[in-house]
Amino acid sequence: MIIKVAWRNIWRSRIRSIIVLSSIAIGIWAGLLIIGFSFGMNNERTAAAIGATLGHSQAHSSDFLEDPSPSAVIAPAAYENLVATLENQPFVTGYTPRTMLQGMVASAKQTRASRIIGVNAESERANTTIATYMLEGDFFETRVRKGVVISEKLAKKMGLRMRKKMVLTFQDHNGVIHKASFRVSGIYRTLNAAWDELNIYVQQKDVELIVGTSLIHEVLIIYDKSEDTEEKTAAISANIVLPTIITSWKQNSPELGFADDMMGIMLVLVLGIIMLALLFGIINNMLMAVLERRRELGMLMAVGMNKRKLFFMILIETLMLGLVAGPIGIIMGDLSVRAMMEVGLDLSTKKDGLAELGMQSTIYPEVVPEYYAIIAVMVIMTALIAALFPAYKALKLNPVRAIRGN
Amino acid sequence: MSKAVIEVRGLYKVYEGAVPVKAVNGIDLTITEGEFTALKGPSGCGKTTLLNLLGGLDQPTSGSILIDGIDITELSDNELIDFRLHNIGFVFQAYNLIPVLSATENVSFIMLLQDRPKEERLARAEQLLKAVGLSGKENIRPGQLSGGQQQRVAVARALASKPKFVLADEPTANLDSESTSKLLDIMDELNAQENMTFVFATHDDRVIAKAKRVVSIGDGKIISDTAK
Repeated sequence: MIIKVAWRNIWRSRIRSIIVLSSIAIGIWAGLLIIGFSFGMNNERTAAAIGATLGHSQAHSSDFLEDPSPSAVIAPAAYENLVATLENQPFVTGYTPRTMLQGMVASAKQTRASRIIGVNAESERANTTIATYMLEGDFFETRVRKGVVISEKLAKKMGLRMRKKMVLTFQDHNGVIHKASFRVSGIYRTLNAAWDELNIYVQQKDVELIVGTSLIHEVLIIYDKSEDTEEKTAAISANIVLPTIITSWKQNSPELGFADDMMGIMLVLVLGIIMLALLFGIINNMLMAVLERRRELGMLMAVGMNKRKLFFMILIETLMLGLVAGPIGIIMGDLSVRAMMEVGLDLSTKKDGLAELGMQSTIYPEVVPEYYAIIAVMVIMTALIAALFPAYKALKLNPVRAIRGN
Repeated sequence: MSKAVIEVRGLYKVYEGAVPVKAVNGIDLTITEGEFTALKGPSGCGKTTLLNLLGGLDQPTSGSILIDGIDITELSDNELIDFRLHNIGFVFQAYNLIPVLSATENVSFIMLLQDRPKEERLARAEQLLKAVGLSGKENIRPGQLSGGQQQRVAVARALASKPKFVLADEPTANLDSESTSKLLDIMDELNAQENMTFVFATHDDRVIAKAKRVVSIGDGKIISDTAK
């Protein structure tokens, strides 16, 4: 019956309770939207970076990780061992070798430092999403001798268009400087403006013709799923011979890894702030309820309701606010996120800024069910904490004075 | 000879302040089982303070209050709460019913606090509401009852815990003549039929007229003690 009393007590001041319930529900709804959009934004950025440029992990020679010089190649024997290992891992769905050269690129307009990525075009297209980001031309599908794929951003800065010539200058593994003329065969734009500005793609076979040998500095490795990347990376590492080192995308792109790792902590903090605001609202509501009912509470104490039961009654009443508003907020949040998954949040006015951060201008939220449980626990905890002060005030009532309404 | 339910010896209650006020100033009083006693006196004479002390709602400055041989002044707060629950029924001036509960639920709530089974609670609540003339009003909430009806629910509630005695503080103060008369008749009947002990604090002549013993209080002392 105490539960029945608590439930009915909530509705004694209908408007006040509706306001508190609404504030809890809206707080949870807002929290779920923030979580949905944050995950959507982060996962999209991470997935785009992994798909187009990073892969789930990368193999390099240990020298390359210390100094990415042209001489820090993966030796043929090590490469063979690596390939054999990758072929034996059930979770590895693909890999593609790359030549990584630091160099200068020159157009009629200007000269800039750039990273020249030599790719096996077919393998790169099969294992990455870079070909889907082409704005003009293609990713070495049309046979063009000494073609180069550059970003839209770089093309604008260097005054280049399709089929225009640019000169690439780079050092080979022996320290010999080569200078070669390439023709723009494709223009791309990924979600990551910083990547776009620095990296240009050429075909490995063209580099081979220039330097006279095959240079493999990096092998991009793709897994079946993005989950357990660290464990999978460790499994490959355990089976390859040094000096080849496998590093996960989090190690290769620490800023993305950090954002991913911090996401959960940040969102719990945001939820904590929302709950803190709700806490004061609930305390205020319950305190008013207790003070308004001091005659009744005084009577209950007088007739023999012990402190434990009185505390329990206030606690149940406060918990019920959370138990009613919590599911409403979660359902509202879930439905809103699902609705927004279809249309997304259009931030095209901030397009350039978002591109610098590697994000799209339309953000699609994600449903993150595991946070529903976290929110449910946080709401219950908030309600329990919120009950303490009003319950303390109730327990401190003097029955004689409370019955008189003092 | 009836046994003593309440025995008060050398009871004092002094409210400290710039000028200490002796609200109860050396009272000795014995109330036996089945008495229908009115504590009368003007406002501020100490009758409500005495009633609160008898009910264990307030602690005396000195003196003892024995209820069925137990000195309640020596009980801890928690022991007092439990003692009140099982031994004392209260009727308040302002009824103090729980507005969100029906008449039956108000009466049975105290039995819930005593951890009595649901069937027993409902049966006794129904029986008591019938006894106070509220059959048919079982499922009605206090807000829909008249003042007299609410006070009758309060009497039923006071009796629900099967107390040794009922303390009633100005129970008729908010009632009209008809309601007062009806309420007093019910209490009188319960006193006669069930030998229930009632102690009233009142300055209502109608209650005093009905009482079988009238204790007059003045300045915290017993001025007269008359049995009819």
